[in-house]
Amino acid sequence: MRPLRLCGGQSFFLFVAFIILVLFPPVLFAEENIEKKGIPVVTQTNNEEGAWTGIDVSIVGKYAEKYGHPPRDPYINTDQGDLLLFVFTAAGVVGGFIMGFNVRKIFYEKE
Amino acid sequence: MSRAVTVFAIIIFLLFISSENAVYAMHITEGILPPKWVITWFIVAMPFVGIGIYHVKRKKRQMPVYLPLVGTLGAAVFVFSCFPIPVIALNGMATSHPCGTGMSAVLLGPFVSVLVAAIALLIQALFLAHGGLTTLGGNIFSMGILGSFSGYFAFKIAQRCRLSLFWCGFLAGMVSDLFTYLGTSIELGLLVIGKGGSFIKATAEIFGVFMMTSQGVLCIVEGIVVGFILVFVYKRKPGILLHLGLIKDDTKPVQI
Repeated sequence: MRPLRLCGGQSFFLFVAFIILVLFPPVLFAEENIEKKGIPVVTQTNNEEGAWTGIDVSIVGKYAEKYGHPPRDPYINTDQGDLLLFVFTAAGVVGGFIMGFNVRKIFYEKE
Repeated sequence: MSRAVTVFAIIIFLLFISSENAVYAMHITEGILPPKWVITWFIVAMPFVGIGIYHVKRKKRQMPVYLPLVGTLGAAVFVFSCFPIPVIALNGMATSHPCGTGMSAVLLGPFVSVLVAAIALLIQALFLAHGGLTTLGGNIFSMGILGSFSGYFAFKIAQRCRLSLFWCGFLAGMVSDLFTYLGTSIELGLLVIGKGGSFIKATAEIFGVFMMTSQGVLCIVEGIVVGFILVFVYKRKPGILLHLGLIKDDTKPVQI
């Protein structure tokens, strides 16, 4: 929360805007809305193929299997349910804070 | 105002990475490389990581701002290399991610860039199911070594050709991205040796598919980002580029 105190009231309004931006799309696409509009609910899995497939599945994994070396699960498998979403978000938060603090220290603090 | 911009940038970044989709990696996934190649790539990668550690120790004594710069760019490489970007290219819709090692190689030096890439890849392999521990050496080779050195030399060659700072950075970012995926293609192409396949044909095919699926577009995006970052650093603190040896005189305007 330190950056908020440093930045004053402006950050509070930015955070409120962020919360609204994050919550608004899921409200629009909540399950009851999807069912009413007839949009099919797709379960997310790592083996999903189709639009927006990651290239590790569509290219790396495909050629590895073709050459007889299929991928296997990682030793610490965080790719379960929403756990992967959590670790990626946490990693992004930590990385973002590190970048923000150091950018401020290098480029904006007086020497 | 600048502090608000920093916080806002962090918020926007968090918004982009908060995806409900399972995130996929460009790195070589766990289990793909046979044991002999696991060991080979580790042996190739480790000396570069060791030299990177030595360079950090040496440069932090010469330049006090170097460690915060390493922290910033290390976090940036980590975030860039697990940040899925949706791309519509010749093969349709896919997601891939940039590498960031071109930018880190220009600003930190290629050996230190290998070190930050190694740390980023290790954390991703341990906690993010991104890449793998057995394929860590191979991923360091492609993203760290090939990506960093190619980006660094592309920047230097562009400077010799007297291109503006933006275009030097653009070429560094673009070339490092291309060489990273070329490295991945080489590592996958090596799997056909001994199985009757042609290494060159396999590598060319995989690299071609990478280009048509995502990297043909993404390498340009990464080049633009690196170019803008270098221009930002020059405008904000030209002394950093001077200390890093990227410009000769911070009082003399550099073409941007």
